[in-house]
Amino acid sequence: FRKEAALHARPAFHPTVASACQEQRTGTVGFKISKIIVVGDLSVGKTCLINRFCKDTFDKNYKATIGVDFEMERFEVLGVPFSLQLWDTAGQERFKCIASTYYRGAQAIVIVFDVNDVASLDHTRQWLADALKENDPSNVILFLVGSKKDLSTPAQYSLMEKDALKVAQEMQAEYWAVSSLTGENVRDFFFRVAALTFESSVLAELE
Amino acid sequence: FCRVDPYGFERPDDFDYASYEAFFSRYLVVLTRRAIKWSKLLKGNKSIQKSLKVKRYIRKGIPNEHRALIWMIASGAQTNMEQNPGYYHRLLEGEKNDKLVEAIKTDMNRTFPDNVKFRKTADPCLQHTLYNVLVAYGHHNKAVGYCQGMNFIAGYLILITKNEEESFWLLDALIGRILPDYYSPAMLGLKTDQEVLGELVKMKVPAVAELMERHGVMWTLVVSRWFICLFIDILPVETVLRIWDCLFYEGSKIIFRVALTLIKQHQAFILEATNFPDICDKFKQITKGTFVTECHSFMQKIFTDPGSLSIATINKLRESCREKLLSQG
Repeated sequence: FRKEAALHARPAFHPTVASACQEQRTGTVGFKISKIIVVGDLSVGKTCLINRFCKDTFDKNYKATIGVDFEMERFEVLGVPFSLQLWDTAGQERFKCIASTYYRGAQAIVIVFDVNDVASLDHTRQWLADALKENDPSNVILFLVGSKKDLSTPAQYSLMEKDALKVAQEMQAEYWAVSSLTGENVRDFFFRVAALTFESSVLAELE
Repeated sequence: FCRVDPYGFERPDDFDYASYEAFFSRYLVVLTRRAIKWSKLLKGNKSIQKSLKVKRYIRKGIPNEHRALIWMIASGAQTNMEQNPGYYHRLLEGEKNDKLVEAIKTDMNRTFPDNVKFRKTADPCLQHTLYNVLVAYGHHNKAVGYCQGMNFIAGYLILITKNEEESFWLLDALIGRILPDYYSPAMLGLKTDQEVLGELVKMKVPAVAELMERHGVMWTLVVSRWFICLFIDILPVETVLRIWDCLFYEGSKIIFRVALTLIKQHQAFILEATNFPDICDKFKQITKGTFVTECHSFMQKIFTDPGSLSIATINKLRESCREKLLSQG
C-alpha cells in the first residue's frame, strides 16, 4: 500500500522509473535499510522536514544542527519491512568536513532549499557536487526539495518553481515542494523516497 | 521546583521533579559547605593563585556567586580584559563583515529557544547581548569568525557572567587558548580530539572501541556535539557548569575525562547494541538520567573512573592523530 501512496503522489516531473512490482514481490528477501542524506544551506529547514515526518511535530525555533544526526523510520513496502535511515546534516559550510564522512553509501540524496531564498537554490548544485564526491552518481536517487512553501504566495512560488524545475532537470533530480509547518506533501514525499529507494535496492539485488 | 530553572531554561515535560528534588536537597548541603569554604578562601582578596588547594576547591565546584570571577581569573580572561581596555567596544563600533553578521543573525532565534531569557519578548532580551558578543568575537578572531556551537557557549557565558565584555573575554579564552583549533574552518583540532578520544577508548574501554569499529561507527557521529558544544544540551546545566569550572582551570583534558567516564560507566549498556542505529541511540541515552544529574558525584567519578590521563599522553596522541588526519587530506 506504500507503493500506491508513492505512485499516486504528484511528482513535478517523472524520472525514469519503471515499476517492477512483480519482480519486487519475487525478489525481495529479508530486511532492508536505505541511507538517505539530507543536505542544504543553513536554516532552510532540513531538521524541521525530518521532524515533521518522523515525529509529526513542528517547532519554528528548532535548535541549529551541529555536526550530523540521524533518525530511523520504519516502513512496510509491499509487505516487506523496510527502513529509511535519514541523515540530518549541519548547513554551516565548515561542518561539511565532519558531515561529509557520512555522505558515503547513500541510496538517495535529498537537497533542500528554501523556496523564498533564491541563493539557497543556487547553492544546491554545490551541495550535490559535494555529496556525489562520496557516492556513485549512477547508483543514487536525487531529490530536490523546496521547503517553507507556506511562506510563499502562489505568484512568488510559481516563479521560483520554474527555476527549481530547471535545476532539478539539470541534476536529474525529482522535484518536490513541501511545507513542514503545514505538513503539506511531507509524508507523500518520504513515501516516494521510500518507494523509489526500495525499488532500486530490490532491482540491484535481482541483478 | 518550578517549570523554569534558575538559569531560565524551561524544564522538559517529562522532567522528573521528585528525583531531582531528592538530589537537590542533598546537593544543597554540599553547596552550602562549599560556599563557606570559598568565602573564606576569597576573604579580603578578590584573586586566587594556582595551587593544589585551589585546584581541589574548583573540582568540588565553584559557588555560583563566585563562578564568573574565578572563571575570569583562572582562564586569564581577566588579565586580557584589563590589559586591553576599550578593545571590546571598539570591535563593536568598527566596520562589520556582512557575511559574518548574517550567519550570526540566522542563529539568534535558534540558540536557546527553550530559555525564557533568550526569547525575543524577554526584557532584557539576551539575544542582543549574544549578538554583540559573537559579532565582536568574529571580528577579533578572523580566522575563526563564527562557527555554530559558539552561540551556545557564548549563551552560557552570558547567563553566568551577566556581563557582555566578560563573556567576550571568556569566549576568547576558550576558543583562542583552551580548545586547540576546534572552530576554525578546517576544524582540525576538533577532528583530532575526536580521534584522540577513540584512541583513549581503545586503551581504557577496548570492548566499546571494538564494537564501534565492527559496526563502522565513526566517533564524530556520536561525540562531535560533546566537543563542539562542551556538553551544552547534552548534559544537565548544573553538570555542564561544574565541568566548565575545571575546564577553565585545567584545560581541554577535562573533556576527555568526562567522555571516558560516560563511556566507561555505561560500558555494559553500550555493548548491548547490535547494530549501527542502536549504537547511536545508546550514546544519546548515556548522557541522561541520575548518573549525570547528580553532578557532585559525577565530578568525583571523572577524576577516578577513567584512571590516569596525563597531558603528555594526550599530547602524544594528538600529534599522531593529527598527522594521520593530515595525511588523509
